Amino acid sequence: MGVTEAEGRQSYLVFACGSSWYAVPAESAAEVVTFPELTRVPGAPSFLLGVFAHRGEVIPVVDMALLVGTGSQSTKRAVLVRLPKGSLALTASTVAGVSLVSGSLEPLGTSGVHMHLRGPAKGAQRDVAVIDPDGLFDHLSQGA
Amino acid sequence: MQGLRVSGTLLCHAGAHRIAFPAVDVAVIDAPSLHAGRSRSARQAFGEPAGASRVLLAPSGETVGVDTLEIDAEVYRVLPTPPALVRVAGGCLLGFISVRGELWPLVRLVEFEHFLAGASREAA
Amino acid sequence: MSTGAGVKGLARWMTRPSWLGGGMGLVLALAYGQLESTPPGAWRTFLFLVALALGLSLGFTSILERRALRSLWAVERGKLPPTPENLRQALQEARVIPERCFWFTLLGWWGGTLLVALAFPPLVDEPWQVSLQIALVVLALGPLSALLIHLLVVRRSRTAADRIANEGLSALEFIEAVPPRRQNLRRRLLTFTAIAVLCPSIFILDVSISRAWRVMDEILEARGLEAQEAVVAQARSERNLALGLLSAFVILLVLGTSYAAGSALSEPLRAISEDATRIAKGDLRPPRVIPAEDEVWAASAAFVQMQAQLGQALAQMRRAGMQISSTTEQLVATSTEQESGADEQSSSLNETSATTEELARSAQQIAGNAESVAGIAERTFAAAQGGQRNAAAFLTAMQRMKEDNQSIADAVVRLNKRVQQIGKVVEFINEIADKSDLLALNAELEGTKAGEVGRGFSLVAAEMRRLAENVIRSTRTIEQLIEEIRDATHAAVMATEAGLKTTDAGTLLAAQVDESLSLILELARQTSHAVRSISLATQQQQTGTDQLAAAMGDILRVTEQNASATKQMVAANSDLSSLARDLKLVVERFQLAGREG
Repeated sequence: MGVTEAEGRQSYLVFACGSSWYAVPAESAAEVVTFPELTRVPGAPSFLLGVFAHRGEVIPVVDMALLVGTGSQSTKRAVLVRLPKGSLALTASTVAGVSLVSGSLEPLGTSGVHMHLRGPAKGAQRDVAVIDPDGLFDHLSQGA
Repeated sequence: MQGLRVSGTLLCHAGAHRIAFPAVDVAVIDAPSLHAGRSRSARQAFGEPAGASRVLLAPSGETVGVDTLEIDAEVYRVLPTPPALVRVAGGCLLGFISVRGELWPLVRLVEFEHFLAGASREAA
Repeated sequence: MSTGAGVKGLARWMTRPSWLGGGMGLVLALAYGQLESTPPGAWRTFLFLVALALGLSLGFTSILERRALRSLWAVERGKLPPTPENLRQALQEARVIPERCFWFTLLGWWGGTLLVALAFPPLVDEPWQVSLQIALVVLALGPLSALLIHLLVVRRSRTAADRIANEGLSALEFIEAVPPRRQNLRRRLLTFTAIAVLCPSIFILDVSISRAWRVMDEILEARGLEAQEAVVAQARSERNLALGLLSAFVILLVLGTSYAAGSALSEPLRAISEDATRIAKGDLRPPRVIPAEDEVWAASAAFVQMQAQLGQALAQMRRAGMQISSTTEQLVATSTEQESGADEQSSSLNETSATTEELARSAQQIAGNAESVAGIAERTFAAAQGGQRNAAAFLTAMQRMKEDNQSIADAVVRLNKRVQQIGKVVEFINEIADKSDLLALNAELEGTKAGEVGRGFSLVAAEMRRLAENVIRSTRTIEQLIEEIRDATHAAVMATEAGLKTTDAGTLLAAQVDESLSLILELARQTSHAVRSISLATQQQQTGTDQLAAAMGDILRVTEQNASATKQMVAANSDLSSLARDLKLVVERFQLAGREG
């Protein structure tokens, strides 16, 4: 994706998974859900905890912590991200709420993980890793 | 695949995990002793070591080992795979069926076996 | 020893006063003769006779004197060597000579007078009364003259004796040679007094009487009173001076003799007192002999002996004093050494004593330790024995357990066999059930795949499957049971095996324990033995140490006594030293010089 300039101030849903804070564009974030027992998917990467049925739809749940590599975080809460291509749920231990985030966004890369996180972004009194949902989606759908 | 239905499924357990196959994919159910050493295990798809108490034999000869198994003749509506998981497991995931309040991933036997073979080759 | 040169001429010198006696006799005789108014013709005869008599008597006395002093003459001349023997002889002669001179002189006078008396009257035809008168003169003057000579010779003989002694006789030898034998002072004084009084008296009496007779005769011869008065006047006037002079002369003679006698007496006494004073002043020379006669000689001799003794005593004292001094110095040095030595000894003994005390204490400690060790060894021994007994009991128990275990093991083995058989049967059943289940499954699958048509088939198959599952379930239960039994038996076997192993291990252990206990027993025994030896040794050491300590104590006490004795000795030594110093002072006062008496 490359580095882009500051995208100005956008509203994000800021949440924490473990000790890291993330932000998803507010327009993409649909709702915060509490998921039940998850069904594991055969052949899925480890950060994909499983799926669950939500209003007749099967939603995959991604553990951000596992994705980033900071260990697993047991939580039953997730942020439902609805994209035109599909839906995702990102586990969140704490949801801060919607706020404006600004600042230059640079891709953060952990080794071997192609993430589209941008940040740091100020405004929420914290540095957040802004998640690019599309990138994340693509990353998921490519397989582990 | 919208509006997909499946009639007759084999509801299997691979370790602690659920996995379902369409009945049409399975030719014979065998004891593992008949396919010792040659058969892949569904457990491997869940990151668990191999092991099976029943072996599902496809008409084309692929075998996948599972643990417990139950044949369900009911017709179930298949919930479509979320677009994020389309390419998971080599694309053998047909969707999910809800049986008795639980979601079961419905997987094509042959593709699943191929996936398992590929995965085991990669692992090796 | 001189060669007699010192006594040369001594004899002659000694007897020279005889000549004086002779001269005096002559003078007196002449004076007397003149006084008696002898006829002139007879004067020459008288003179001649007197000279003859004098010559004879002098010659005679010389001869006698020479004979009396023959040894002395011989020593003088060198005919005899001046050996102490000869000197002694000479000395004796010299000492006797005064008396002999007296008699010689007297004899000479008597002989001479006799001669004159006998020869004169016949020659001059004088009556024999003249002889008598002459004889009376002799009687009167002879003793006096002899006395005078005697006294003179006495003085000379004393000097001579001194000179003879100087030739080689010591004072004591002198005294030994001429010991004071006769104590005749009284007699001598008596004699002297008699002579000194009688002789002049007789002389003067004689002269007076003869003069009176002559005058009487003259008076008788003279006729008439005037003639008699003239005679008397003449008698009174004439020859008074001569008579007076003669009388004075005689009196002077007497006085001189008295003086000589007095001197003869007083000289030695004075000398003695001088010497005594000198001695009192502290000047103790070798004593000089103060020759004297009679009692005085005895006193002098005694004095000389006393001096000699004193000198000897003082010399001895001086020697003793010096010896004491040196001895005390040595003693002081020695006692100082001894003192320091004693101090050192005392201190070293103290150290030794302290060391001994430490030794004793350490010995006691060792003894105590040995005792405790002995006690421990005893206890260990008892414990080891007890342990051995326990080990034996353990072994028997092990043995029994082994037997029990063996029986258990046999039972278990039998059970195992049974279970195995059951297991086989169950397995068989399981296989069948499994096969049935599989069959049923496949049937159900086909039925399902056939769809509607195969529904009934599926149901039957499902039913069959259920049956099979039941069987499987029950076989599974049986299997579980079998497993449990197997586990139990296995556990039992393991237990028995373990038990066996345990018993084996236990037996081994018991054997090892036994061995160890034996070792411990041996060790304990050896320790006991060793401890006993140590105990004995320490006891001995203790006894020895006690004895040593006692001995040390004794030595210490003795040393302390020695030290105190030494101190006393030092004090005594200092007293001795001061005494020696006093002695020395005393002795130094008497400056001993030359030969010792």
